Amino acid sequence: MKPPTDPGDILIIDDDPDILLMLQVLLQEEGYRVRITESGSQGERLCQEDPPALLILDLLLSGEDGRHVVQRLKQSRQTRQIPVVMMSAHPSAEHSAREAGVNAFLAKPFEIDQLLEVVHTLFHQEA
Amino acid sequence: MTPDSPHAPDRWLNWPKQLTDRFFHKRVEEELGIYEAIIASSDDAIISKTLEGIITSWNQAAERLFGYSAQEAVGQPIMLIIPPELYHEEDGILCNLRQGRRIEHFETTRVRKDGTRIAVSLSISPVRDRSGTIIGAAKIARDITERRREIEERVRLAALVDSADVSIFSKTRDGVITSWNKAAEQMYGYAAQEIIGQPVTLLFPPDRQEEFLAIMEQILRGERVQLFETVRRRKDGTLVPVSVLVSPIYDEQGQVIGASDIAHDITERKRVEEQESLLAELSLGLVATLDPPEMLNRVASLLIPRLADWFAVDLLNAAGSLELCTLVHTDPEKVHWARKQRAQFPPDRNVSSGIAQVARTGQVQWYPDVPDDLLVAHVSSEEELALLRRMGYSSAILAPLLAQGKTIGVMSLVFAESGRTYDRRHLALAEEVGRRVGLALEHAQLHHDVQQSRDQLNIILHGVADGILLYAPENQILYANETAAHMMGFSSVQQLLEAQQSHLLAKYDILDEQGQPIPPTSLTHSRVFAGEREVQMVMRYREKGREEAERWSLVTSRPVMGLHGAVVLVVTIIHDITERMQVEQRKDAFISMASHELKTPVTSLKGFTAILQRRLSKQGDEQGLSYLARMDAQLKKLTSLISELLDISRMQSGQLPFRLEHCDFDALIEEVVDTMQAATTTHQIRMEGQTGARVSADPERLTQVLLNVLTNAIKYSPEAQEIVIRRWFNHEQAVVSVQDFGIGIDQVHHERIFERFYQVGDTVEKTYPGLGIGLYISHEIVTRHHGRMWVESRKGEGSTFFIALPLLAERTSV
Repeated sequence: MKPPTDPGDILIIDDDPDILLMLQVLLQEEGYRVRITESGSQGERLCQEDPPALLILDLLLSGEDGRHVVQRLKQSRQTRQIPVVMMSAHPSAEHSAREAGVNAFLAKPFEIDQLLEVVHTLFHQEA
Repeated sequence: MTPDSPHAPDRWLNWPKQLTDRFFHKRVEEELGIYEAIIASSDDAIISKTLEGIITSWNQAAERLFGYSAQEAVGQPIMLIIPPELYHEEDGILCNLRQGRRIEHFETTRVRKDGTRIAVSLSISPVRDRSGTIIGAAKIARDITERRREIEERVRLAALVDSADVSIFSKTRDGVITSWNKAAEQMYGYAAQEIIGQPVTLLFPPDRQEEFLAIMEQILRGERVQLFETVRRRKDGTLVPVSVLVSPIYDEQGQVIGASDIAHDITERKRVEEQESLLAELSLGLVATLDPPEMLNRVASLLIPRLADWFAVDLLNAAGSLELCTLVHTDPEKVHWARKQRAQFPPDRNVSSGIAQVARTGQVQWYPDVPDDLLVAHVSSEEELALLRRMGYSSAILAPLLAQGKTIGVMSLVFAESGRTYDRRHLALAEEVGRRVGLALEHAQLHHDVQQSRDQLNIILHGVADGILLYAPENQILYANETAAHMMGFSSVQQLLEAQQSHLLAKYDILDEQGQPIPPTSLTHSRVFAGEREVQMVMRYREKGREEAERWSLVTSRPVMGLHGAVVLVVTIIHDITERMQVEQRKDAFISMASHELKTPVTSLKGFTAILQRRLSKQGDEQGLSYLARMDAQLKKLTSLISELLDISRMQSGQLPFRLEHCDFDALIEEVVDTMQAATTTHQIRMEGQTGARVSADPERLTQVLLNVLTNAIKYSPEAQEIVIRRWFNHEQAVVSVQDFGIGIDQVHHERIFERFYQVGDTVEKTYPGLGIGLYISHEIVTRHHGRMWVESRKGEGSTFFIALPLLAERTSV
């Protein structure tokens, strides 16, 4: 599975550096270009400046609720189109996450194949 | 001729001497006819006889009186009508007649033709011839049977009056006594001859003289004075209680000429009445208190002075010796001396007299008098004798105090300075008093014992940390201990009892373990009253509007059965488990937190494992890949453990969500079986039966249950190759069973394997692997579906788990 010629990239926001690293390596090995950040506000800015083709973020970011980040992005013209995958250790948060505007919800711990399938679907859908 | 002119026949009999006179012949014949007619019609029997006693004439009245006709009687000797024993009378009569003497109103007895005797009054006159020679007699006989009967009656009546045991006398209008019977003599002490002619007021006590006037006023109006009770005075001045009836006496003209006075001595009746009233007062006094000394003081004040000058009670103590309990006399100084005597000379248990004897035998002792030699015989020293003499005892009764046939003490009644004497009637009364006092003392003692054990029980009950409530039907709280009162926010038990359940329900939210309100009819005690034997449940309660102060309790209710097996009371024990629940909640919160915290590192691990797998796969490192596969399997296990732990913590907090929908029971099972069959190579899963049932279930949760049971079945039958699934239904349930042929579970564990964290441990064989929470979760899930989950198993023979779910109505209606 190869990214398209104008692929765009994937932005990952998670305050856990291990998760960040794991997802970065995994997705890069799958052929995606990946940007990472541990900060919600930083990620939000990056989206405004250079919207990624897909955003993956955790629900609980340090000092920030991922759902609020998504809500704001979905309200902005610039970023409205970015598909969002949200991860959380709290499966019960799925409903509120979808209300905030996320396109997919992954309950931790998820299967890697499941992640890749979601990413693939959303990435190409947008493209 | 009237009966009042006895001389008439005399004159008539003198006339025949002139019959020869021709001159008067005709006139005489006429006159004779007249007299004959008179004689014939006379009511008195008129008979004439010769001096030899031969009857010569016999009138019609004689025929009626004696029953002989004139024809039968004339010519017969007069003995015809004289009773044989009275033949001698005739000699006397004839003798008198020969001497020319008349016999008048001679009362005697004659005999009739039919043999009956009649009382007659005879008047007999001599009959002379013309020369004056006595030739016979004319006899006039009058029947006086009736008159004699009257007289006899009067005599009998007089005898009757005399023999009556009521006093009867009569008096004039002025109250002068005119007759007086024997009973009156006895009652008042006056002989008839000394009282007749005396005024009746002699019999009235000085303070009742006006009573006489009142009685006479009534009598003179012609009214009877109905029976009334009063007091009369005897000759010796003593008073006698009497019941009197006074009636007017009339003369022939209907004028009141006096009165009859019938009186009855009611001394005995009065005594019985007084005795009864004494016993009644005694009974009242005995029930008025439960304090023995107070009780005995009441008895003493009733009996002194009526029945005693001294009153003492000795009670048998546990050691069997007598203890002086009460000693009463009007003079405190005497009491002092008596106590001194008792203190110095306690009753010897072994002597055969006195209170020791009564205590030993239970028999009353009676001393009509207390002679000095009795004292001498009783005492052990000169000093005691001196003390006893000082008391001046004159008569005594020592009666046992009996309770249920057992002697519990001795009551001493003593007359001293009043000089009275106890008689047999006192004895019976004293024994009765002894029985009643004994029973009352026993009752007081029982009450005291009950009170004491109740107090002790109360101290224990109030001291326990669990709340205890006693309910009567209609949810009435009969008893509560202090803990219960405090649990419910009352400062005292009294307040709780006043508030009762309705107040509690208004004040508190009462919830079940899951936080659902419990209706009053489902409270544990209500359910026991409704027929359940023992009900235990976890309850949460909190004051309305104060959710933060919620308390948790384990509430247990048990019935108290009455004689006929009906529930009469319910005991509810409230064990506060708030602390425990708080710890549990903290634990659950911790588990929840920890599980969430575990998820992120596991996610990382899974991700890195996947990365490594990809790399090693490219490198063709098969061994490395197999290690990673193991790692991945462990990660899967870790993941499922985390998820189970989370399920548990959410179940505890009531947060495990259920999404019920109508499911196809068979299809759901088949899906799970397919999944499991695909994942196992060791076992063959065989299906039997079908239900076609639809149930209301959360398919995800039900799948979880079935997976858990199937996983266990495979896991715990490593030696077997088969698992059997059976499905069936009855009129209300769809059932699925999962049977394995593995190690089995000992019966002792059957109930408990569904408990949280319960692990079937075995000291000899290996412990069951796993945390043991899967079954708990499964059981909880089935229960929340209103279903039932259970196991049948024997050690070494495999296990069968059953899951039963209620059918949907649509299935049952098919």
